Amino acid sequence: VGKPKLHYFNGRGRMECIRWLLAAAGVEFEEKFIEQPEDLDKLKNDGSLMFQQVPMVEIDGIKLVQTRAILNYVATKYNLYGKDMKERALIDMYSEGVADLGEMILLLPLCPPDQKDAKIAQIKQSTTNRYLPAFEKVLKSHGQDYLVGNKLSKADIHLVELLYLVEELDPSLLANFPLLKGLKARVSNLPAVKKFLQPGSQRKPPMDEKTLEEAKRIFRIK
Amino acid sequence: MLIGQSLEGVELSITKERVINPHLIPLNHPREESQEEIRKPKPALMAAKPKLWYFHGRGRMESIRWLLAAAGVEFEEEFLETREQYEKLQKDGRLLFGQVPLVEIDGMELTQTRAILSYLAAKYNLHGKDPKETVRIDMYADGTLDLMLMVALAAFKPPEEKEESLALVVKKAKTRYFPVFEKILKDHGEDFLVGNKFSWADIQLLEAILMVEELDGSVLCDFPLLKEFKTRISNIPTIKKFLQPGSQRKPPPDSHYVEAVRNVLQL
Repeated sequence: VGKPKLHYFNGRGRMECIRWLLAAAGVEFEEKFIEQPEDLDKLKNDGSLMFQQVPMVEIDGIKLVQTRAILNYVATKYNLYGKDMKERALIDMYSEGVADLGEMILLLPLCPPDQKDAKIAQIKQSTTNRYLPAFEKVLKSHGQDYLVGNKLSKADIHLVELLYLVEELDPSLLANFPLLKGLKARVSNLPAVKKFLQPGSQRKPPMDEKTLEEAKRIFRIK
Repeated sequence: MLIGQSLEGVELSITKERVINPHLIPLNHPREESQEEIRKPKPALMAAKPKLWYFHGRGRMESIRWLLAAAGVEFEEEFLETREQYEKLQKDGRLLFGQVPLVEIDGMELTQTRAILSYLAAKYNLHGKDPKETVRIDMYADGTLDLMLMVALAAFKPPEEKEESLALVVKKAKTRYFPVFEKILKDHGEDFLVGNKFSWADIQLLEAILMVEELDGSVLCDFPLLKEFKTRISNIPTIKKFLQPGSQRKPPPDSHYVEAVRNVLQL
C-alpha cells in the first residue's frame, strides 16, 4: 500500500489544506507537481480527473477529487472526524466556516488591482467581526483544548491553518482572541504539526508574483 | 423499501458532565436535572420535526428540502421575510456565522449547507455503507452542488451577467458533469450511482437535472441513461410526492425573491 499521491501545482491553492491535514495526521505523502499546461491536459485525457479539475489525490486505490470529499475521507481514515454523527456535524459546520473565509483569502491574488484594497478591508472585517468571534466563542463555551469533543479533529487543523493565513495578512487581527491564540500555539506544538511548520517540509509558501503567473499559465487563467 | 425510518439514528447525547457547547442546545431550556432524568429518553426531543429557517425560495436550502423529502421526513419551515426576524436570529446567537440556512434538528442549531446535508445523509442512511462509498457520494454530490449554486447565485446578477452565468451552467452540465454521470451509470449498469443503493448522490443528481432542464429543456438529449435515471428516481414515492404541486418544493428564483433576500440581508 503506497503513500497518498497529491496532484497539483507547486503552490498552496486548494491543495494546501489537504497537505496540512495529512501532515497533522502524521501521514507521509508524495507530490507530483503539474508544471506545464500539457501536464494538466494529460491528466484530463487519461481520465484521472473526474470533473477535469485538480486537486486530485490517489489514495487507497482511488483517484479522489473535490477538496471536501478528499478532506472528509482523510479525516475519517485517520480518526480526525469526531466520535459520532453529532460531533461530525459540528466539525463540518466549523470546517465550512473556515473554508468560507479561506476561500476569500485564496482568491485575493486574482482580484483586479483597483478592487484589491476594498477586498482586503472586507476580508479583515469578516475575520474580526464574523469568523474569529464565532470560534473564540466555541472555545470559551466549553473551555476545552479543542473545538469538538475535547479531542483534536480536522476542525482544529483547518482553523489553525487559517489563523496562520490571517496572521500573514495582518498579525493584529488576532489581537483580541486569546483562546484562538492558545489553540494555535497548542496545535502548532503537536509533534507532527511542529515538523510541518519547519523549513524543508512540504508546506508551501505564500503565493508570490512568480507562482501566480505560473498558476495562471498552467490553468489557462487570463 | 429504500428509505430508512425517519427516527433511526436519533442520538441523545447523554453525558455525565454538563459540557455546554453552544450548538448542542437542548430544546427545553436548561434546568437542573438529576442523573436519572438525564438518562431517560425525552419524547419531545425525539418527536420534534426538523425546522428550516430560510427565505421563501430555493437558494441554498433547496437541496436540504430535497434530501428530507426524499427520506420521507416531515419538516417545518420558518420563512425570513423581514430584517427584524433575521436580526433576532443573530442576536439570539442561533447563527454561528450570522448566516442562513439554519436547521434545528436533534437538539442542534446547524448552519452551513454542506454540514447540514452530510448530517442528514448519514442520519437517513443515504451516505453509503463504508468510507469508499461515502467518498464517492461526496465527490458526486459536491459536483452537482457546485453547479446548482451557480444557478442560485446567477439570480442576483445584473441581466446580462445573469444570462451569461446561466448559459455557462448549461454548458458545464452538458460537457463536464452529465457525461460523467452517464458514464458511471453505463459502467456499472445499476439503477443508482453508488453501491447499487439509493443515496444522497442520486437525490442531488435528480435535483440538478431538473434545475438545468428548466434552463434548457433539451439538455438530456445526448444522455439516454440519465433520462431513464430521471424517470426512475422521480417515481420513488417520496420524491413523486415532493414533485407534485402543493409540496414544500420551491419555484425558481424570480425578481420578487431576489428583492426579498436583498431586503432581509441589506445587500
